[in-house]
Amino acid sequence: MTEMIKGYNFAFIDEYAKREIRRKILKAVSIPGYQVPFGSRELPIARGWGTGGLQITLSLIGKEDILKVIDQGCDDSVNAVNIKRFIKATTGISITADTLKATIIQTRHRIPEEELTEAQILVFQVPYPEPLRLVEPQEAQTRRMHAEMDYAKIWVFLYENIVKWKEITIGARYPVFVNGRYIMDPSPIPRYDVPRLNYARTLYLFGAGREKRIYAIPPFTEVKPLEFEDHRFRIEDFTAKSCALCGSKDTFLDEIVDGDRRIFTCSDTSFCKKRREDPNIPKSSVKK
Amino acid sequence: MQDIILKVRNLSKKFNLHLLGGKVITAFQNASFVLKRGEFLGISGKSGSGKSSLIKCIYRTYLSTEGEIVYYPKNGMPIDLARCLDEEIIDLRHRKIGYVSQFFYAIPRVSCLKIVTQTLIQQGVDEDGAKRRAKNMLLRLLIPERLFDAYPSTFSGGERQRVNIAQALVKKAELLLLDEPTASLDKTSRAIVLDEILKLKKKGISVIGIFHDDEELKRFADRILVLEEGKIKEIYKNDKNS
Amino acid sequence: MRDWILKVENLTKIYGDGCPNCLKSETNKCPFCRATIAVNSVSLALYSGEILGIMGESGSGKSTLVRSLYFDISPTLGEAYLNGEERNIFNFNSQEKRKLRNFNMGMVYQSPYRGLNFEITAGGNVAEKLLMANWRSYSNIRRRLIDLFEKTELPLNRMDDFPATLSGGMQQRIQIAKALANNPEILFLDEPTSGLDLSVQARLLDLIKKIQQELKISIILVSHDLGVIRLLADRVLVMREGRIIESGLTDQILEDPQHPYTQLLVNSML
Repeated sequence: MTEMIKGYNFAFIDEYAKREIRRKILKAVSIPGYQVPFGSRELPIARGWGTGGLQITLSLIGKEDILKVIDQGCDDSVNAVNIKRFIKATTGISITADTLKATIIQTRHRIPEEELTEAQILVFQVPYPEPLRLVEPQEAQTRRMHAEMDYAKIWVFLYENIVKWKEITIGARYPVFVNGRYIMDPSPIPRYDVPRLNYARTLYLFGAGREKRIYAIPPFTEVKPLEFEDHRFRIEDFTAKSCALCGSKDTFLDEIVDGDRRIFTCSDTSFCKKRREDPNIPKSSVKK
Repeated sequence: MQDIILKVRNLSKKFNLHLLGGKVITAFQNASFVLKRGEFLGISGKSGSGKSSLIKCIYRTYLSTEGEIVYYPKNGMPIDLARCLDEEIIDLRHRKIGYVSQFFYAIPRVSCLKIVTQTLIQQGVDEDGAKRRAKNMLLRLLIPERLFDAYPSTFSGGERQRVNIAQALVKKAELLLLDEPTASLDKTSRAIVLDEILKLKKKGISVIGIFHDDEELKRFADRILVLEEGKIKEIYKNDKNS
Repeated sequence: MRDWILKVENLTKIYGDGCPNCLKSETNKCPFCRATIAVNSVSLALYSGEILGIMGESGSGKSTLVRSLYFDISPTLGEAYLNGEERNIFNFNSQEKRKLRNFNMGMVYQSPYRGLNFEITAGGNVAEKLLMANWRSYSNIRRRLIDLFEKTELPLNRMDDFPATLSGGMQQRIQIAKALANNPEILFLDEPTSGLDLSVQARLLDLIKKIQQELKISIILVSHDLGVIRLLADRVLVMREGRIIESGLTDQILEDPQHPYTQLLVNSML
């Protein structure tokens, strides 16, 4: 264990606050897809910069944990690096970029390409936890709609999408139906990652610090994207495109404009690195 | 009892005009009579003698002040038309009791064929059958086919009244109440309407009717009830009709 | 005789704290506590397949009455029952009430702004009801919309237009199509034709009559327009100061009104 800064509690937040957050996480796990309000704490980073995810990570993390933090799949972006430094400084635990080695992964807007296991927890940073906000501005109303499963309004939104564009045009934040009960915002992950929510082996926790909500998808839970029988949910299409660095054709790609050139690279940088060393590593390298 | 369809006992109608400081006007009082099944009872009397009010009380357009109007349907229990529930009256109006007045209200911009057809549909006749019967009846009342899709509000007074009569005659009521149905008709259409009424009578339908013209009344009334200043002066057998 | 389908007993809506004397009040303003008694101890029965008219001047409580029955307003006192359901529907929880609103009842408001969402298309407004009933096939929804648009005589090529671009008469037809989407047994019409010009009004009245006959739906029609009541309603309740002061067959109420107020109303008819 490396040196940690003095004068602060382990993992920054005091133990009573951690206990409250853990209680709220338990409630969230018990009611998949339900948004549990929690007392979001002040942190040395601004609200809206991943404080929800961070509070979940800080209240769960132990001295033996190995942490990975990604920002849109990237381990080295400013936000991810800052969060890693902060956690390291207040816990002294070790950090990794390797998806398979991490016990806790905090993520902004992506699910790693490699298949996660039941030994891991994926913590999502959530900007807007309310999937119904799109169609209903009032919190009192959206709460009532969830309570009564009154979801017609969001379905009308999808209907109108098809009327106007012949298909559902939602990109990220595609609303999903969890455990046959709640409609949930999966955070701004691409549609590509949505199927990974369904019957996953890993515990998914979602934290919205500014909006003060925690919700969860426990392992092996049914998660279905909203779709019509004759207008099915579709993921992004990368046909005939491949990563300019590792050459992979089966991963989620980011488009980069380099001068006049438009190139595509893997969004999951650590997996891209692995593929460059060994192009044959499968997406799901973990045996079932 | 089987041969009686209507028994009116001690029936009175008074209007309490609140706008005139509670002034009470008596339309008729202590009317008692019976109508036999299949009988045509004519009502005669001067204007203001209470003829229309009597018919309207039976149809429940007016609420009777005193007395009873017991109706004996062919199948079912006797029922007091003066006191029974509104719902029961609605049901009887749809199925058993027809009424033709001098006035005609219809939804604007509904074709005359549709008006007559709807009456039958309300009785439970299927749409095709209703349409066929409605067309037949309109043709018999000399409404030409080219007018079927036109709105009665654009018709002449006589034509409109014939649509009104068609609407009442097309359903096979047990009891028909006529309040000067021919008043606004010319000679030819009057003859046709009277002919239709006669046909219904021959089919055994019981009728109470007021006619503008006493001669007309005597053509088919079995008995004639004479009202004078709201009281029944006499009821006599009409010998001219046999 | 026909069966009753909705029964209301002693429905009362008081705005304000209310006091024990409110229900005895002659007017809709309680002389003791100054509360407004919008609806005062109203009882009625709606029979299957009939059109029941409620007439009365503005402020007589007729709209409050139907909006209470549609759960837009929660009544202060009173009970309502649907045939075949033993519990007072006012005691239903909000989910059960919503279900009744979606499946057993339909509502057409005087103002389309109350009945329609102007942010979504005409078709979307109607589709919402189908989506509430878990329709999940886009093409089936579109087919049902075409059916409903035809039934309510709406032009199909306006289905994907926004309500604001449609005429007042069309907006009311969309409300009707929406109200009929899930084949309800009861339809509430709250001044459905007021404010429309006469030719549009006539066609709408004809449509309502047609729908009532074809679908055998039971209708409560609120109107201050005696002409509309005369053409559509089988029976009428007359309301004043929150109370029903008189009821009867439509032609009887119009030709032989008993209550002084009804006599005044009928005599004021053009």
